[in-house]
Amino acid sequence: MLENADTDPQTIADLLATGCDPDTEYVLHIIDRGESLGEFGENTFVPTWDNLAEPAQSYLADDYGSEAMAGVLNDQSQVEYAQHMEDYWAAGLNQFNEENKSMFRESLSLKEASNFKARHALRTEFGCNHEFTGNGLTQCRHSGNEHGVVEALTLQNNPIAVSQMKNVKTINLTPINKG
Amino acid sequence: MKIIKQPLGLIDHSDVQSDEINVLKVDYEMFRKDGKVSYLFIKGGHLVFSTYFFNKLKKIWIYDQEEYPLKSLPWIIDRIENGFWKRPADGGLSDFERSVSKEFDGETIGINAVMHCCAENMPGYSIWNVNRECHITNTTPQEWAIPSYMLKEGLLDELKVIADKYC
Repeated sequence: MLENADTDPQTIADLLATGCDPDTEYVLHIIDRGESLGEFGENTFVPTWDNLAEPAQSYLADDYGSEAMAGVLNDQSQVEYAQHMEDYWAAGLNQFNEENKSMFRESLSLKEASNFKARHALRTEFGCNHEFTGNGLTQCRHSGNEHGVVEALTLQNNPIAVSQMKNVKTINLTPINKG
Repeated sequence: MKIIKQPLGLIDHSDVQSDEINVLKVDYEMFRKDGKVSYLFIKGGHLVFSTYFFNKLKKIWIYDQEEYPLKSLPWIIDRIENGFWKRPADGGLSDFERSVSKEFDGETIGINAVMHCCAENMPGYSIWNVNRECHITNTTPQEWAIPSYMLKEGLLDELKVIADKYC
C-alpha cells in the first residue's frame, strides 16, 4: 500500500496525512501476524462509514445513544465535525482532555453538543479524526497521488508494545532530501 | 425510559465536608501543565472522581466530578484486570468485546476500551455512568478516562485498596 513512498518519512506521512517532524528519526515496523491472529489484530477492518456502523453501535451506543451515533456516520456530519475541531483548537483546547471536551460542548446547542459528543467518541475510542474520509482510504497530502492508501483500523482492548510482538522487521527510514 | 439520578453536590477540595473522604490523588502527568488536579473521594455510597481545572472558555477555575456507586468498584477492577487484560483463553474478553456494563442500584456503569485515552495513541479505558449527567453540560453519561499505563503502574492496586476498605 505504501510502495511508492519507499523509505522517505515525509512521503509516507503525506500519503497517510499524518505529521512528520524533520528533526525526528523514524523507523518502519513490518509485522507478520502469521497464524497468531488471536494474539493481536483480530478485530481489524477497513473503516468506511458502512463498516463503522456495526462497531459504533455495538461499542458506543449504550453510552452515547444509538440515534446520535447513527447520525454522525456520514460525509455531511464529517464536514461539521471538522469545522468544530477547527473551533476547538482555535480556543486552545486539548482534544483528549475530558474537561476540555465538556466545556466545548457547553458552548454548542443541545443538538450540536449531542452530535459532537457521539462523533468525538469515534475519534478517541476508534481513532477517526477530523480528516477521516470514510471511503476506506487515508486522506492524502502527497502531490503525486489523488488518493491515500487503504486504511486498516485495528481495535484492541489491551494493545501490546511493538517490542513484545513476534516476527517484526524494523527498517530505518532515510529522508530523501537529507544528505 | 432512562432515569437520571439527583446530582451529588460538587466537592470543594479546599472545603471538604464531613461526609466526603479524600482517598487518593490521581496524577495525570499529561495535564500537569494545565494545573488540573484530580482526587478520588468517597461520598456516601459513591466513589467520586473530582477534578479542579481552568475553564479556558469562561476564564475561571471550576470543579467537575463523576460519580459511581461504591458497589461498582470491585466490578470495575475485575473487568479491567480479568476482562480487558486477559485473553479469551484465560477467561478474558476478546477484542470484539470492547464495552461492558452492569447495573448497580439503578445506575448502569460501563467500561469502554479506548484507543486514544488522554493522548494520541495512548490506550486506556472510559468508565461511564449513563444515569448521571455531566455537571458542566447536563448531558449523560458522566465519563472518567484512565490510560492503561496509569492502571498498570499502580492505580489499579490503589483502587483495590480503596475497594477492600470501603466496599
